[in-house]
Amino acid sequence: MLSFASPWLLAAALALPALWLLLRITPPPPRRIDFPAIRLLFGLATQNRTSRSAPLWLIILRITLVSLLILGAAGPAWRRGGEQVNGPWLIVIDNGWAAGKHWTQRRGALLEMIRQADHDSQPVTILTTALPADGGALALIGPSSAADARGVAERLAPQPWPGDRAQAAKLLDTLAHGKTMRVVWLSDGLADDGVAALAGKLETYGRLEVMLPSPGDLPQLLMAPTSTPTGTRVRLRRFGGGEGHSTVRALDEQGRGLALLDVAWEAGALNAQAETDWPSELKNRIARLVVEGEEHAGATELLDGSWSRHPVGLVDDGAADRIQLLDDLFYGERAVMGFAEARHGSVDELLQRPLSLMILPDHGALPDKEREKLRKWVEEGGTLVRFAGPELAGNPDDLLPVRLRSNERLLGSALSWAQPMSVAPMPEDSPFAGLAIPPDLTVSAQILAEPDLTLANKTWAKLADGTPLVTGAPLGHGWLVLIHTTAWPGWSNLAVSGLFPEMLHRLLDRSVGVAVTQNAEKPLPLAAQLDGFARLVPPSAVAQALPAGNGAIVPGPHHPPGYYGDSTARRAVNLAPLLNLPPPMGVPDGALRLDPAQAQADLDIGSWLIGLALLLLLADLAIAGGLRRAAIAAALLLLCTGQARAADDIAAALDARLAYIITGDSAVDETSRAGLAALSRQLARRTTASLAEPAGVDPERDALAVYPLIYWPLTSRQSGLSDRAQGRINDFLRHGGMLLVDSRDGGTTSPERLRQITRGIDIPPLALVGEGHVLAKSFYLLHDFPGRLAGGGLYAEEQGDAAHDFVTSVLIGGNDWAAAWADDRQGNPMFPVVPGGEAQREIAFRFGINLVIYALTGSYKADQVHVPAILERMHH
Amino acid sequence: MTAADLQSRAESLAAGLPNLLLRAKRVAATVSGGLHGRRRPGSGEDFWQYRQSQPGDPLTAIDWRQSARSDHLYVRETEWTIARTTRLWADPSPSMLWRSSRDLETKYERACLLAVALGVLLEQAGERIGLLDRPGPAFSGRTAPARLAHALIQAQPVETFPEQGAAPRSLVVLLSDFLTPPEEIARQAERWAAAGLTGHMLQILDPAEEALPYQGRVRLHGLEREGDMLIQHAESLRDDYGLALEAHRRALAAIARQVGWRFSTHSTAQPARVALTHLYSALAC
Repeated sequence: MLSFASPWLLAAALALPALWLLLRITPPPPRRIDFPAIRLLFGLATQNRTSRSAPLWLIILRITLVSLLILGAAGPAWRRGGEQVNGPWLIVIDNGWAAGKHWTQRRGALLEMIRQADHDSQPVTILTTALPADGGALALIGPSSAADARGVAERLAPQPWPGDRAQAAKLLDTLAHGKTMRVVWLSDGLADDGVAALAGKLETYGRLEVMLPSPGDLPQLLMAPTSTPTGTRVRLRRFGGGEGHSTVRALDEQGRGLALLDVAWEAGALNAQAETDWPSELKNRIARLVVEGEEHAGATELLDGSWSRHPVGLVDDGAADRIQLLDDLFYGERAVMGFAEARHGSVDELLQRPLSLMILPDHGALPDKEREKLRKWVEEGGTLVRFAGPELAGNPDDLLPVRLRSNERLLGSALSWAQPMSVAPMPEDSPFAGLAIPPDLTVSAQILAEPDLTLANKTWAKLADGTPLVTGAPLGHGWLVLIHTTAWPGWSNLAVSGLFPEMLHRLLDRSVGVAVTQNAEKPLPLAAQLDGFARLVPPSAVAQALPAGNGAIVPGPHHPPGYYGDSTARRAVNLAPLLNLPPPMGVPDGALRLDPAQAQADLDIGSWLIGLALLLLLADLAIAGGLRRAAIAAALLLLCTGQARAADDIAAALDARLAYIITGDSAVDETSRAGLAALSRQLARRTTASLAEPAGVDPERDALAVYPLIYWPLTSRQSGLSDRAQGRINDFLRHGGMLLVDSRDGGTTSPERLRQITRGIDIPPLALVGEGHVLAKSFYLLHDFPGRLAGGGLYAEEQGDAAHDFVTSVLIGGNDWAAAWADDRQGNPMFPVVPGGEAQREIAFRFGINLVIYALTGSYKADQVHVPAILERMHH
Repeated sequence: MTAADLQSRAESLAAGLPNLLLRAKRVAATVSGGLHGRRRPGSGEDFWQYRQSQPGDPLTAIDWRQSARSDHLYVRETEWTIARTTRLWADPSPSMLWRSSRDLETKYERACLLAVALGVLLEQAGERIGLLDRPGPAFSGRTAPARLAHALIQAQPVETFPEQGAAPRSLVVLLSDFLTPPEEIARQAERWAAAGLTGHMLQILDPAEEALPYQGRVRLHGLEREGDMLIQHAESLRDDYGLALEAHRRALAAIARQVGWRFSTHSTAQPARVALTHLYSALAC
């Protein structure tokens, strides 16, 4: 469909008939030639066959020329996607949790529609379906001008809770029915109760177009992992798609990757699971699981440790008269206190609740019933740790890893020749391998094991003479562990040595964790919440505490997914278990499916028409004015286009200036230009670096070597670079250039997408830029590097190239820095910065200044820290 | 073109003419070239004759050695010799400052080149050279061509024939396009012939003036206030123009014959040496 940016210009076509008449009656001027011998011609009679008017073909040529110019100037654009209503826009955009995936594309489509509305000078109404994070109600945004709508769209973000389409549908009652509207629904692709109601309401405003993700692009859900005796089971759920696989990534508290797990999807299957045998020690460090490529709250599982707690049971014989330091339980309890929950009680009492590890001191013979219970518990995965003592020496039972001799062996007593024995270094294959033995640790009594062929394998720690100190053997899925001395300092000072808690810790790490469904005993305040891109952010002001008890909560602005509670009691609330698994959404009846490709930019025809008109003009000049004049005109045209480039390169080399890569998206390019220009002005104001106006470069054609720093904003429409451009950028980086890649989305771009765009560019291993990096102190002292957005990390070369003095050549981030810097000519910022406001903009400028100083001076500032030392040395 | 430029080009052109031929011509044409012995007594260096002293002869004129051989007093007479002066004229009118194509010289440039080349040759032959439109003594000696070139370069555009006549019996070489009406040229030629000048007219034309190569609708514009002329089909006039040019040339040749001058034509498309050779040989005999 053809549309015009300035249709009123077409009125100039009314003048065409007048032009026709004018051309008809005016003959083309003759060529004027100087001719000295004209006198000889005077006498000659000329047979005049006067052409009083221009030939018809010439008139047609010129009328065509003028028509093309008028058409071209009116700014025609070919809109892909066939016949569409030209009316006010009503855009519904789903911004619930499921919209987090492919949000960049969805928002890109939204911005493109707003651009089209701007082109057609139509007002835009935007309706979001998820409750806003500030606790307010859903509201229609607009109708407003396209420029205002763009500001809204820029700030729009997905929320980590489901949308409420039924509520959104009710809102539409407040929108007046006027002209036929262009109605578009950017759906997240999942159905809920409100789909029919919303679609029905929308269709009363005009033909409904729905943009749906393909089934394979629907979000995946990560369900809570479960512990099994042999490992961990991870379950994924999806809404459609073929064969494939997903990767689950396990991260620790700091967000460092710990482990990867591949989950295979069978064709058509909606559920998939995979089991791992992550060792308990690793498992206990996992803080969250995420599905790669799924940046939304549904594919993020925060772990609060409840899935793998290690409660320790201490078997109490119920004696009332305990003397603290002689109590055999006292030392064990103190040893596990720091890292596990310890409980007292009889075997029966303890086994009523799940336990990871049970400590059984020397309490004499167990009743058969209790022994059977214990055996069953161990076979199901429990770890039983027993201590020797006089009682056990007398009555060994069968819940022991080894057979025991019936008497204890005394060392260093009055009746023995031997001295108290020290402990030998831990065997390599023992769970205690690597633990340091305190030199003063001695054992004066032990219970010996019957010699046995398997004894060496079962021995986890031994005395200097090779007799066992700790033995362990599996029983079912669990372990039996015997410490051949007492749990209190009677037979050995082991219980008061630093080795004791370390040994118990090792045993705990080996033990199978138990899932605890813990009821909150008190309301837990929100500590950190997930945002729509599954990043942990500080809690919002409207969030409410998690109520005590096990009541179900409804995810929403008041109860966002995240961590609730404080360090003593922390509970993770995840989104996936709270969802009632909606089916994928189909195209509502009577609606049109809008292909994402159709939301592409309009094809601008105006420039082609004007180009064609210029060609016709050249042809006209060639006919009327001779080839030479046409050639001059053509040369001038070429000069304006081609030669200007070489001149640009030369001009660029004359002054230091920043550069940005031209993406082809005029809004992004203008932002880059304005941003770098504003940054250059700030540099001139605050530092001695005076830079000329920034330059836009096309890596395929322009000389890059003359720029110290090139800014590369990524857009959703970019694909990879051509081979030639890749080669030139690599060359630029190899020879000391610096490239700042900005994904402009706060760092939510998936690594795959980044890899795809930067394909072919030699990017060395990257690491997060911390406060110790030169970038954080090259001019200002900085703690983080925000732009228009904050929170996305900035990555630099992990280890710079020695040839470049360890200065990084590539910086990758996503904070949309140029937008924070950009201002109009009057100094008013072009974009709002979120969430920090003007203070954040100032930090953004400081980052920019640091960056440019870093690009210009390299590691000079890093060397500055050595100046006092050097001065000191010179002084001496 | 600077004067030095013009001179060096002219010298190389003149050097191209075979020296032997020149010398032969010079020997054969003693009457018209070189120091022309007038075959009668006069001021000169070569002995001519002895004659008897007559009253009025100065005593210093008596050749005492010859007189001592006889009873008479003899006076030694030398042959009267003069160096002929050649006056050159390169027409500096606006029409001469024209060329039809960037690849060609203007007619005036060609005329200057020929004039200086001729000057070089004449200077080698010992003649004196001057400009017809520049009063004052003629140039002679090695510096003459350079001074000639200098004077030509400094000439201002003038549309009329030079009024300043040359000394009687001078040789005049006129280099012009002679596009003024033949009657005017005839009047001027008669005036000069009456003043005792002999000469040569070389008509220099641009190839476009010889062929009228234009096509279609053109407006021709004269350079000397002749006015404009709009021609609808220039190609249809080409044959008629050729005839008109032919007639004009015939008229010019007739004028030259009438006053005993020579007339030849030259095109700027031809090499300059063609015209120079022709001109020089014509002057030599």
